[in-house]
Amino acid sequence: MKRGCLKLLLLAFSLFTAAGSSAGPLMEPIKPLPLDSAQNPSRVSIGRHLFQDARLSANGRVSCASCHDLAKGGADGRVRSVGFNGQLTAMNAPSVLNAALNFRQFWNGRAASLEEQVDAVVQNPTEMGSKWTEVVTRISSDPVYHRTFAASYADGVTRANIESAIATFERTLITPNSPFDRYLRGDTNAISAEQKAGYLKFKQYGCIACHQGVNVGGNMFQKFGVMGDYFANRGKPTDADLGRYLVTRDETDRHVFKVPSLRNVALTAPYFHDGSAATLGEAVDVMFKYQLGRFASAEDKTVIVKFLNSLTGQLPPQPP
Amino acid sequence: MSIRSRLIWIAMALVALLLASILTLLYVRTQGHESNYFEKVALLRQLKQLDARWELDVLKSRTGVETNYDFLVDPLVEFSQLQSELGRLLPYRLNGTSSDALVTAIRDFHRAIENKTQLIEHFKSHNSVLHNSLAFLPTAAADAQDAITHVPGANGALKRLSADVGAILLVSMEFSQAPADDKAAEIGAGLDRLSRMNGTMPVPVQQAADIFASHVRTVLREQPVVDTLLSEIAAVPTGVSIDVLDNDLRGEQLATESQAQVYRRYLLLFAAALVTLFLYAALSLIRSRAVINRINRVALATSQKRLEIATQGMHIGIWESDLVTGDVWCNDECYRMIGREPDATLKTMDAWMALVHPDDKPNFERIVAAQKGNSGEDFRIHYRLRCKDGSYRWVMSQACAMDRSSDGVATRISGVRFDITELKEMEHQLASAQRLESIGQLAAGVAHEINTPIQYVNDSIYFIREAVQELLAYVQQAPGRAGAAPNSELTYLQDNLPPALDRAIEGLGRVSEIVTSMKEFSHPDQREMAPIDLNRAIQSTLIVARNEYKYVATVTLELVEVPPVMCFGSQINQVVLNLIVNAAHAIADRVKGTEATGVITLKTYREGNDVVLSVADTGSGIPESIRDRIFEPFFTTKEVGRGTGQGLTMVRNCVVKAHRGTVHFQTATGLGTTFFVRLPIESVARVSTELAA
Repeated sequence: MKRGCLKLLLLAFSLFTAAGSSAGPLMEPIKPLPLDSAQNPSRVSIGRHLFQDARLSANGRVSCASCHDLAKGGADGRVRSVGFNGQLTAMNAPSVLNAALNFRQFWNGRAASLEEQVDAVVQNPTEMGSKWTEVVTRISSDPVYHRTFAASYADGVTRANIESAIATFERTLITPNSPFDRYLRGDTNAISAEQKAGYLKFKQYGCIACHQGVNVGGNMFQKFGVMGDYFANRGKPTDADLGRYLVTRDETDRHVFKVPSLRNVALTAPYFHDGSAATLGEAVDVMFKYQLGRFASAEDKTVIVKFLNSLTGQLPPQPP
Repeated sequence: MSIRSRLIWIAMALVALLLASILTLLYVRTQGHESNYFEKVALLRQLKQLDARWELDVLKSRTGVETNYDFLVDPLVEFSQLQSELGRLLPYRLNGTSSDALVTAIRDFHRAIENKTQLIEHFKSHNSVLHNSLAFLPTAAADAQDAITHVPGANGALKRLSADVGAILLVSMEFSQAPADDKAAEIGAGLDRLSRMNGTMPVPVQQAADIFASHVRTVLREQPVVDTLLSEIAAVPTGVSIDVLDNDLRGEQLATESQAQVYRRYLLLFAAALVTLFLYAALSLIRSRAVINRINRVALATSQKRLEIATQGMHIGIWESDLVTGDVWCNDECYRMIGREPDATLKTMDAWMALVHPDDKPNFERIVAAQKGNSGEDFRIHYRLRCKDGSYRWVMSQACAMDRSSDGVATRISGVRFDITELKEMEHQLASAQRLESIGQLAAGVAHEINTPIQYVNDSIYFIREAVQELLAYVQQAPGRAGAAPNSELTYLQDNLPPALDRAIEGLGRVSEIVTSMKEFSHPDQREMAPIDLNRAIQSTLIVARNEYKYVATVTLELVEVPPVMCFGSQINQVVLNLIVNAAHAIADRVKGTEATGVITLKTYREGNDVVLSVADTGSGIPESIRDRIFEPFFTTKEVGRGTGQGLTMVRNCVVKAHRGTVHFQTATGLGTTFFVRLPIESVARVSTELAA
């Protein structure tokens, strides 16, 4: 019965697709970023300070901004980042920009929210290596924080409120008005003809199958190496390569990662969880080989890279 | 308040509190705890709708209608919001009397959503891969076939290969619509044939064929996965969980509702019982009030009646006076006592004061002032009150303080008032009777003492008269005297001595008569009734009273022989004396200033068993207006000193009370008045101590 219904629905949708194929140019699988994200301004302010505050780390050497430099596209440009005591982190630092729009946080999606992400980083023995009780003590001993927290949160400085403030700040780190977004909003001259051609190729080759939605990715998991064994070819397997398997211990999740957002992708080299692709061109090559299982011409790849460059948006002005 | 009544109050308060508590409890129970039931139901509907939309979006992704997977992510945020909302609405159930089924259902729902989320995550991954391969498959096949056609002089094997690629494409497309094992086997066989030709194909063909084959394998791998995931997603019992929740909630709501219904019924019954109780209490109250009122009324009426009878029968006046305001209340008897209708017109002290006899006023005022001054003096006073007709009645008032101010001064007094006129009269009569008695005794004594000298004076006078006559005769015939010229001196003596002596004898006789009459009139020794000759009594009284009438009237006696009458002689004499004196006064009033005289006629005669004595005068009669009152004590028309107003009162009391006789009178203005005293001959012996005394 259920199966019959399903088929009927499938048929109905096929017909609908045939009839609706002449949809307007704006009905694209990619949606423009929201132009503003209203957040509690005082909490945002606290979060902004905390984001740059090295007291979150055990020895006061690193802050969030150490690895997520807003000036560098919300990442640090390194293959792997340097933790509080100089150790390298397990994976390449993903951008904090538009992270609020990712369906989960981290490469393997182990955090369901930005708050959880903050929590994990602060306590990560490589990254910040802190204990929350110490962090809360350090932060609340600062009279400015003491005052601003008391004004914004009923219970003042707490672990949850620190997480909340940072996450609130991060929710403002949206980069709207990229050329491509302007194009999506109807400004047909916002991107070049080559970029338009690149977008077409992006869709035709099937990149769009995973990199879609408002964040051009960041809304699903995918196996790295669907059409070929990336890790075998790369060599030197690491724990981090196991991806989501580390979270779920499900065999089917082996090498499965969150599809990263391609927003501001031109700013966030190197690419992939292992930072193995130094340029966008290399990254596109890897994608064609292991994800799409297809062969593309150099011209096609070039216009695709050009299209990807149109995804760089504008960070709202940050106070000094 | 006694301990007992305090206990009763406490018990009643407790009962009232208990009833109020029950009422409140029932009321609270009838108020649905499930006021947010509809909110929850709405939430469940929302969840269900969201779930359905989620599934729909999955299908859209599956069919390629929707290529944006944000649609499959967004519900997660909504789900977590709605679920926390559900947690907010249900927590008290989870730790309260919540049914296990509900808890289980909620837990199942959470699990189902988690499960579904996972499945959808997988679905997204596999679906996107499958879509890409399926979409690319025709192109890949065309690429491979193109490559073959571009091979110069393609052999039969290559052409078969081209046909195989086409066949595999077709079966793969079919497989993608309806995955079946036979088709999978067919595709597998095709792929095997393809791989057997590895190494025999030109490089471009080999490359294209590899790409084609890998995508076919992808379809072959991913299609069943996606289909399985789809059916698994469809099989996740989110809807069931929601329905269970919904049913459970509805069941609970129904149970609560029916419970509330039961409580409402209880409330209704309880309220009805309470109302009945209140009505019963009110009725009882009214009834007992009525009973108390009736009893009170009867008791009051009885008591009032008794008081009325007592006060009226005893002629007791009862009064109250507010000494501060001067207001006075008094009963009807106070009015009747002074000949007024009880019209409640005398309401103040001043009004009563105006009625007090001028002679008694100072004393009265002093007593009242004494009460106000708290001197401790009893309010007990005899005084006269003026009646409506102007006469005065003696009354006695006795009172005591009812209310006192804080410093002990009487502010309100209450008292009784008696008419003591008769008492006063008796006092007077007693006094005059005592006076008369002593006068009588004195008179009798004087008469006795006078009698003896009169006797020998009388004998001596008789002897002197005899001696004077013999002496005169001797002187006339004596020697020396014969022939002598008559001596004028001697002649005078001879002529006047005998008559003088005769007059002396006559005067002595009168003295003797008066003395005797006085003795008879006073009857000093008579304590009991005795037969009295009324005519003789009249005669002796006339002698005693002669001085009263002799200048204004002559007395005519028309006395016939009557039998002796049983009576108190001295009293009857007093009666006759009073009547004669009144007659004389009446005539004197008439003839005053003239030389004329009147006539007093005394008659006695017998009528049956009575002897009647009448005394008639030729005065001016009794005026019409006072005829009714002439017997009243102290009623008099005479000037002070001439009468006391007690004469006729004494006459009536003596005749009527002591002798069972009657007194009446006839009067005609200008002609005179006649009093008739009728006395029974055989009077019933009746000792009136107060009068006989």
